[in-house]
Order: sequence, then C-alpha cells, then structure tokens
Amino acid sequence: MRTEQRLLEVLTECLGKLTASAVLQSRLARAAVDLDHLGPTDRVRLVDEFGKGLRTFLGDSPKIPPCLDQIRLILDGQAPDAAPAPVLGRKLIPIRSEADIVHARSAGRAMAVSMGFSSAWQVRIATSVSELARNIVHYAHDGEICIEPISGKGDGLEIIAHDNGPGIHNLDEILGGTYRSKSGMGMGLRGTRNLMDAFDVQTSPTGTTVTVKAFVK
Amino acid sequence: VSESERIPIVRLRQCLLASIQVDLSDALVAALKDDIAATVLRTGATGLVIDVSGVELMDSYIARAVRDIGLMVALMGVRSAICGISPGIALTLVEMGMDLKGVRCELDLDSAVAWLEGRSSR
Repeated sequence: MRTEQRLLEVLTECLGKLTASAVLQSRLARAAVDLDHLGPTDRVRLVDEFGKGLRTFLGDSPKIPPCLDQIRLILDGQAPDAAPAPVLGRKLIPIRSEADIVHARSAGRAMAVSMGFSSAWQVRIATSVSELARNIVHYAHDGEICIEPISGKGDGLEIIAHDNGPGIHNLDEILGGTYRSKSGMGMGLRGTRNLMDAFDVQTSPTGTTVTVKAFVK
Repeated sequence: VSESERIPIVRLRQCLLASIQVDLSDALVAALKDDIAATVLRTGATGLVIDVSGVELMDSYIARAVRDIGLMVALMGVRSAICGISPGIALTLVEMGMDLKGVRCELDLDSAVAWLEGRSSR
C-alpha cells in the first residue's frame, strides 16, 4: 500500500492527480503484479508499463526519464533481491512500574535468544536488564530501557537504561562494594557490571544513564 | 495479585511445597511470602521446599526475596530448602556476588524432601 502511495506521488508530479491515479491503476492492472511481493521481472515490466502510460499523456516530454528513474528507485526498494538483510530492530521499553521490569527482561531475553547467545548468556543478559529496570523503578520511578543489536568487535547487543531521576550520589561506594542499602539494591548495579562485557555509568542530579554491552562469543 | 496467579502451596505429610513455574514478578514473590507464613501457621508444618526449577531468571531482588522466605520460616521453627536452581541462574548469581546464605539449597525436589526428612545421603 505504501509503495502504491509513493508511486502515485511521483506520477502526480508529472500528470496531475486525476490522470496519475488513472495511469497508476490501469498500468498496475495490466502488469498484474503484487506490489508487496515484487519479483525482478515484475519491476522491469512495471517500469515499461508506466513509461507507456506517461508517453500517452506527455508525448516525448523531458519530464518522463527522471520520473521513470524515481519509479525504479521506489520499486527497487521493494524487490526481494534488493531488500537489505533483515536486521533485528531496537527495542525501547518505557519503565514506570514493576510490571515493566518483567516486560523489559523478557524483551532482553528474546533478543539474546534471536542473536544466538548461549543459554548462560541469555540468563546474564535478562538478569542485567532486570537489575537496571529495577533500579529505575525503585530510584527514579520513570525511565526507559533501550535494547539494540550492535556490531563492532563481533555481534552483540547494547542495553541503555536511562532515567531523569535524582542520580546516584554514592556511585563509587556502590561499585566498590562498600555500600549496602537495607534492601541490598547496590548489588544490582555492581552485579550487572560483573555480568556484562562492557559497563558505563553517567550520572548527575538530573538523571542517570547506564550502558552495558554483551558480545556473542 | 489475583487468586489464579498465586503460587499454590501444597502439603506433603509434614512439609509444605511451593513449586514456582512462572516468571516471578515482585508482587508474586511478596504474595508467596505472605501465603507461606499463613500456611505454616495454619498447618503446623515443620518443613518447607521452594522449588524454582520452572524459573528462568532470578535477579538479585528475587533471589533475596526467596532467601528471605527461608529465613522467615526458620524464625517460625520451620526447616526449609530451595531446590531446582538452574545452571544459568546459579552461574549468574555467583558472578553477581549474590549468595543464598542461611538457606539450604538442594538439586531437586527429591533430594530436598529427603534432606528435610533427615534421610539425606549427603
């Protein structure tokens, strides 16, 4: 449907709205192709059809070649052989309540599974997401967690936990292991650092961002 | 936590058995703690097994909450054991520096019940 809309826009530039719509529909019907599942030969046939349609109304106008170029570009983006390899998307999860912790760690686990992390690493990653989400709920009350595939020194994933909370004023104590809150919450951050391949905290009185990474071994 | 979500606590002779087969939320753990305390009081059970073999993940908070259940019932005169911690969870807890000190851990339900009944071979 989106492809059809974009084709109509390109044709409208040359033909005006009514004519463009008529050309689009008649030529699509003649080519008898499914815009959502285009094969390589379908593209050639469609460009040919649109060329004929445009010439019917415009003769040999210099507008036609650039218009056809644009149509090729649109169709190329849709053709299966031109489509980029499927990329796992980034997941952004708002963290506001305890239920979001469960949601976030499920998402973390699902991405770890789909990227081929070992079962031990799946648990490490899901646990880290859980700890980071929990810190947001307990200390900042509102924030978000972004889980994203990355590639650098091998494939991996990056987890960014961000909040606009009051910041962590005793970060050194927490990471040094000398701090123990009554609820033992300091352990979450230190534990996460121990579990992951890379760990970074940026904190200020206006918010905290924790970034961790794990790489597929 | 609704009634249908609560973790069932079954009685087996003098033991109570809570088998957790779902993804643990904080609310669920808190409800379990209350339910176990109430059930111990009502039944006069002398042992408790918390089976976590169906749990895929325990972060530090959940691990602590489960441990606290064991410590709580100990104060009520009940011996307790946690069983079924998966290799992945065990590894993760150790790496995080989290231990379950004060609570007996057993490999599976069978060995946990054997230990509680005093016929453990270990």
